[in-house]
Amino acid sequence: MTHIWQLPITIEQDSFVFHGVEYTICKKLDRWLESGAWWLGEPMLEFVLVATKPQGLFEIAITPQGETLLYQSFD
Amino acid sequence: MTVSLHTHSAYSLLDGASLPRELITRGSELGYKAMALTDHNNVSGVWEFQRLALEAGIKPIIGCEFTLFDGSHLTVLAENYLGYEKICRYLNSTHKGDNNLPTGDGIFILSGCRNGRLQRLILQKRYREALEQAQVWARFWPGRFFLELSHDQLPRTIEIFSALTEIATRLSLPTVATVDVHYAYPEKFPVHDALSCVRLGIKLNDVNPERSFNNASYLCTESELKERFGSFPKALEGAYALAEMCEVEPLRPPNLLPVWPDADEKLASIAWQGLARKYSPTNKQAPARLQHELQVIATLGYSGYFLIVYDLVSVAKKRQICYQGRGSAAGSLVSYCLDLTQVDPVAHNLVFERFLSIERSQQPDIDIDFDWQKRNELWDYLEHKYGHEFVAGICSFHCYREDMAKNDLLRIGLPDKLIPSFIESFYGLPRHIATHSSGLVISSKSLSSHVPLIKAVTGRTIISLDKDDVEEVGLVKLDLLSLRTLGALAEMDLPVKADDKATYEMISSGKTLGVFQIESPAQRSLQQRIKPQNFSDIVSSVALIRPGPIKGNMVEPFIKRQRKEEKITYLDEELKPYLEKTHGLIVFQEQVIQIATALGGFTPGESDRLRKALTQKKREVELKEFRDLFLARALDRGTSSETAEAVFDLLQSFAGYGLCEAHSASFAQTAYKTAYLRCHYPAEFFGALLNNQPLGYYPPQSVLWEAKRCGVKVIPLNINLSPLATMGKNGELCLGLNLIKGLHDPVLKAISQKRPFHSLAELDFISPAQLRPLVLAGALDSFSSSRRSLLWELWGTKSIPGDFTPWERFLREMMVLSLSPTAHAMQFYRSQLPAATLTAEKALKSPGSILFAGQILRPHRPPTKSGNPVVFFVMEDETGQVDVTYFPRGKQLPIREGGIALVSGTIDKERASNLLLNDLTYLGAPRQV
Ligand SMILES: [Zn+2]
Ligand SMILES: [Zn+2]
Repeated sequence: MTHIWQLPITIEQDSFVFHGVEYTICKKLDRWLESGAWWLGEPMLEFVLVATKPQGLFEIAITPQGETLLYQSFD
Repeated sequence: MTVSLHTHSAYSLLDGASLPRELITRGSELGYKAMALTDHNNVSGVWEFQRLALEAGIKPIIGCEFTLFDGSHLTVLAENYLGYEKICRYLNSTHKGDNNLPTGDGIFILSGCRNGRLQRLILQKRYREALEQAQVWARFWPGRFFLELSHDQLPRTIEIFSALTEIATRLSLPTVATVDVHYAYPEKFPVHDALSCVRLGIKLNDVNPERSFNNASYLCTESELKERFGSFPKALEGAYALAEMCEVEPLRPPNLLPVWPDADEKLASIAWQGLARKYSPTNKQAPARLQHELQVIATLGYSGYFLIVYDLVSVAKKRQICYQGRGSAAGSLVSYCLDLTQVDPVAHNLVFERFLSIERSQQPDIDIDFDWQKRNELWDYLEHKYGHEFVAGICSFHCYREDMAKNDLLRIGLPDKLIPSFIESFYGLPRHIATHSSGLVISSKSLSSHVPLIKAVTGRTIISLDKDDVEEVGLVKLDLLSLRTLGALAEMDLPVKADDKATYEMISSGKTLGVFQIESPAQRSLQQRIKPQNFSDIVSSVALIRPGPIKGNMVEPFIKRQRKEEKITYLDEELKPYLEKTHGLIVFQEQVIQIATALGGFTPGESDRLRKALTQKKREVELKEFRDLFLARALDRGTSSETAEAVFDLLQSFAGYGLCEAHSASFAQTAYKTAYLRCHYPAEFFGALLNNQPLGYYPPQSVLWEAKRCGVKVIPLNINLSPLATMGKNGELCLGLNLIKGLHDPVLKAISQKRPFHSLAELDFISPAQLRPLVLAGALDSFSSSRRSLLWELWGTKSIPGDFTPWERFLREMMVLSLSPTAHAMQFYRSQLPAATLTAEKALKSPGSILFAGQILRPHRPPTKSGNPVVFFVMEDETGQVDVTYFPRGKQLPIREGGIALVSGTIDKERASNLLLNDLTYLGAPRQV
């Protein structure tokens, strides 16, 4: 199942906490850029697809200001 | 080292946001060594791209991104001209449904962007099939097939790269790194995205897989490339290596000019024969000039081209097709001796250098107007004679202007506040190709190997290159224009006597409605004031009402000097020989050349470049250089710096927006012919005008009523008696059934075969839909006095007594004929107008304040020197036309085409009976009709 979260998270030393569980990034699987609705002033976002321990697959978005959002999770 | 092997320009129509110039400028800033142009399925931008790249010191590589039959993409680069030919041939054959990809020497094939066939298979995880396809291609293009790693910051890029690298290893194929560039700078991404929405016909809010995902498709810096391809350094090296493999020599097409054995001798022989026919043996000037011109033409290699044009007009002559050479070609004695043009350039002292000069080595541009109904026949002749493969039309790229950009941007839903900046970004980008140009080229080699071709809706083959690029490829353009006036002249086929006094008198009195080029209000006012006495007065007047002389403030002084109300002076006595015929003023483009030659010591070629710099925008730097050069040289030659500056300012104010004298002379000749015919054969003249509509400045109703005012008797329509086409003869103008809109040719033919008819019942072979306009036009009036009853009968209903009112009849005649043989709109208003209202005829003879009523025609708002708005229009009633000038101050009166109004104003006797508008009231429908 895919869930779209768009939750602000803090990543410290390759780890972040999500729903009370601490995940550690073990591999960056993919990276890409995605433009938002630029005509409405939305910024370009950088996306990273990461595999974690405990086992999980997350899409993390990084804004131009360096803020990170947990964008999607895949079960 | 940095290279780009995959670059789209704006010639990937609506899929590229940068013109070649911007790409090359950016590439040059970033130190690119080589750049390949790979537009989608076309090579329209290659010549511009190559020229600019060479100027910037970047190695240009010519290529194309093909879309294969399954919709997948493939990048193809030309190693050399052979490869370019193969690309052209492939693209040109796909229009015929051919799908044989080019092979062998000269080309390099790259597996394409993310839309490539291999990449698509990889994204679907069909790795084995991807490998097999790569294997097939590697065998098909041995040593010339490359796996393209195209990095566009999209998801799964690394996955694709890894799979392609794996294939590369297994099959020992090289990889090359690319970015699928669609704009020069990342900031241009929104522009590209907006263009894509226009292309796809969607709104910005719509989701569409064809739109780009992010702003990564720009020209990267070297470090950005290293970052994108960090894990695949071999691909970067592969790209440099491939760029190196392409030939250093830029692409140069072979000579495509039509060659003829002994062309120089043949041309000379025909020209000398022409000279002998046209000039007396005592004329010393003509032979020397002909010798010189022939030499220039031979040196530049254009003799064959002249022979082609000569052959074409010979055919036109044989088939009795009216034609008239125009433009700068009319300044050539060779053109005149070959009968390409009809104005004597020696007698009128027309300048040859404006047309051709060795140092300029610009291609000759021969424009010929043909009878509009016969032009296609001549085009067919050329295709037939030289072969379809060798003759093609040229197109024009319609580039974004403000209005078009605004419309498109509004349509895709761009927020208002962003529109101005986007208009600027869109400006100048090609939007679509227009194929209806009059220009064509004839080549000595099969065009499909050398230039991109498309098929126009008309079925003609068209070269999809800008006209400057057509020149760069070495093809010479021939313009076959169509002119309705020539159709009208051909139809009349009447003798015209030169220097006819009555004709000049008629022109001087401003009675020029229908006369070619001098019928507009501005022209007719000019004619009344300068009162032309001879042909060259008409030549000047044709050129005078143009932006150049108007902006250069030449018109008023010209009129005053012509009327001997102002002394003729010259800024410098040395200019007298060149400006004498125009009373010391600059009216023609050639005079710019002559002045620069005389005062600035410019060579003819330099002078012509100056003329161009004066005409074209964005040439300020060049113009400044010319100014300095002109002043320095003039000073050297003993002219005072004040005078030199004044002369240069004069040249600049003229700004080159004038006509060339040769062209004016051609037009003036047609103007004189039509004026002569109007003067002596009014019925024939106005009949021919009505048959060749739309033509000229005024609507058919105005033409018809002018005929009436000239004493021509108009015979209304009658199904049994009217000719099929309108015919004027001996003072009678018989309206033709062809004037009736909605009546098709087969019906006309049947009518002419089956008439006479005595009742509606006998017309049962005509559908009611086509009978209706016949009734409304009055062509069936002999069956019944009531047109309304006829309509009832037509629809099978029992007729109800009564008829249309005269006003209703009139409106219906206007609807189906665009004219009314018996009524003028103003006649219906006469009884309701104030008693003091004058008719046009009386108004023109009544200086001072007047009241006048008429129908408004042709309002226009020209730019003025002062910037204050002004509206010019014509007001017409049954007795004539009055030209009106309106300066809107304070309250703005709306001026509407076709509106019927009562106006007050002042008739200015000095200004050729022009009415200066004071107030205007629109009249609704007439009260008693
Ligand atoms: Zn592509
Ligand atoms: Zn592409």
